[in-house]
Amino acid sequence: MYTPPRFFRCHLTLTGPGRLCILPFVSEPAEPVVSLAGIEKEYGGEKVLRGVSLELAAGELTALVGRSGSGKSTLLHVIGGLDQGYRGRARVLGVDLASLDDRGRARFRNAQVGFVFQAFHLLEHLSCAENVALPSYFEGSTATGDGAPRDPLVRAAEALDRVGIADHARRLPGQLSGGQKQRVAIARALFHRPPLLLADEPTGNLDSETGQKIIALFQALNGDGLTLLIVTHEERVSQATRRVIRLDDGRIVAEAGASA
Amino acid sequence: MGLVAQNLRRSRREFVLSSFGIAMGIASLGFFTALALGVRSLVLDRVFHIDRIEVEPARSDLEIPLLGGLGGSRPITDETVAKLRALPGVRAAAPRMRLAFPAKAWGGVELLGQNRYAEIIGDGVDPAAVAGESFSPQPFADLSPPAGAPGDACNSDGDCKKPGEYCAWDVHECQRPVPMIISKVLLELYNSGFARSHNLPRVSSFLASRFRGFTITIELGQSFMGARAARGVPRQRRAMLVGVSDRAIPIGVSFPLAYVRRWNAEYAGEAAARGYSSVVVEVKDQRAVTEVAAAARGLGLSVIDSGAEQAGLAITLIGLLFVIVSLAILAVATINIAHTFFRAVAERRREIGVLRAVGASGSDIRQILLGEAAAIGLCGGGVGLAAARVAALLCDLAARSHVPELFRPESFFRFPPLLVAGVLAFALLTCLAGALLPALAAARMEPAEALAAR
Repeated sequence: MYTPPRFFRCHLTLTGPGRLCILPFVSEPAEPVVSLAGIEKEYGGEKVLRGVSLELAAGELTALVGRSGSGKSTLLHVIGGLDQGYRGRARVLGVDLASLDDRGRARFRNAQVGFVFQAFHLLEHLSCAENVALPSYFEGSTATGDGAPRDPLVRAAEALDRVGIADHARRLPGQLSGGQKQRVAIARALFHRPPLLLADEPTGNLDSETGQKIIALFQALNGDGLTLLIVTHEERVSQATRRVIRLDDGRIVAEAGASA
Repeated sequence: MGLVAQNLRRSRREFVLSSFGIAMGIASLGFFTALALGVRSLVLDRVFHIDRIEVEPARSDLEIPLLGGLGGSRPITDETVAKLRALPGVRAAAPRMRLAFPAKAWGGVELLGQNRYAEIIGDGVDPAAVAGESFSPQPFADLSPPAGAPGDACNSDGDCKKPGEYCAWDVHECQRPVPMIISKVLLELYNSGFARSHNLPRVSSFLASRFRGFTITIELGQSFMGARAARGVPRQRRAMLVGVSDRAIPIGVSFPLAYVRRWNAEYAGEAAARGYSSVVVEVKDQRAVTEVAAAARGLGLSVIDSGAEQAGLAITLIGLLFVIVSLAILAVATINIAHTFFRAVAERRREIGVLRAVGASGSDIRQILLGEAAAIGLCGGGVGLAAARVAALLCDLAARSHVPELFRPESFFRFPPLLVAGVLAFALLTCLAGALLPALAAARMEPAEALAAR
């Protein structure tokens, strides 16, 4: 049975209508959150990743930049357990992803990783709260977190509150602006309070002002101790991060900023 | 379950269309299966009585009717009847004796406005065989005074003092009418042929019960055709209808066995009164019919072919034909389900990717799709069964004005719980079978590829 490691624990929590962690810190900092070694991946005979190695420490806010087709999204999918069939070693949150079967990877994605996509990927027939609570349909016994309320819609309301759109819970995605949709998508990614959030061009479909607000939200979440890896080709996004990794033609060609 | 319900709500139109095909197939399957069960039960239990066989003396292969039979067939004796009763699996054996001399009858002026005349085809039935059936106004039994104890003499006006008795002129003696029973087949023949052609009222079960006590005059020993018994003096007697029974001779009238035995001895000789023309053997369990028939053959008897087996086979074959048609409809519906689900998987590719990203395994995706298929199957099956029930009700209503009342059951359809459960299970399995390949394909989809779909 796979037991997810907890890198962050909330040592002091204010309770009330919501829960606010005011004293988070790393309890087991020894192992990086993401550790990739020599990752290679090809599609239809064409190499997309060529021996990528990198490490992300807990609490880092990192941008993965590069031209279109440079392999950024593929690398993000490998880290998130969405893609398999790669060569090399991918160890995320202490788990060797290659050792997991389909169900194990699903559990891993459900409990340990949150995904945010450029196109939001909200289900149009579900309300915002239902979209956010979507992971609850697949949660196992490990996924609810310490003392989290059991009702998925209550937990969804909390997640929506965390991203600042609690009053939109009952609306359908079609009734929201792009920025609001992305906040709902972020709330969904945060539903299980994962230690790692992976965002693929999260501001790509947003105007600059809205994009800026989303970046600010990511920074705030990072401030709470969340590790973020953001795939982007936008300068303003990468400038907002502390570490920037540049990918070109499936290889890491440059890196700026220090690990936390 | 929640996701399945949400998906079904979202794709209401596709869901209804897919269910419609299943409902059609299931309605057809349920309707024809129930009809086959109902008609089979009606024909075999009520028309042919599959729990009974009638045996008669075996005819010799060398028997040539024109020569009076070289081998001849020996009538059934009491000893043979006792052996039949002793066979394992036999509940009862009731001997029958045919009238072995010419006889005629007339009457009906009270009912039909004028007397009708007919030759008598009849037999004698052991009253024990109809024990438990209700007869009135007098029992179906030998009501003759005991030998050597004649009845009261008629008075000078030719009347009798005791109610229910009539004056037998030839002996100037008061007697009770001879009890007589007829079959539903005879009533139906009267209704469908005689009554119609002679513009006479039809006789329903209700009317038939009201006709109890109706009397006719019978003349023993001679017929309207001029035939006369080889011996004895023709005489008239009164016979009274006491009931309708499926143990009566199908076309003719049945009297208590004792009367026929005495009449045969008087008009056809002692030999005709000793043997029985046939024996109706009732089995405890209809599955024992074959063994009992074989044992009866072993006693030198032959089984009269009632046509039950052929009728049962014909009904089964016709039912099977309709079931095959229904299965073909369901096969088309299954292909439609498969097509709908393949399309749904293609259209929801990105959605499947999202579900995979938030923690759905391939098996979860498969279960969601199969859950949707199961819901379609159960709804379609339920609607189909309801449609079959409604169609059956309408058919039963229509039958009330077109099918002879005497043979019409409460319903021509049988929907036993096993059929309902079986048909629902079939609908479920059909939909699951249709959705299986698309569901497997969806489950195998790589999350990253699914998310990349446009």
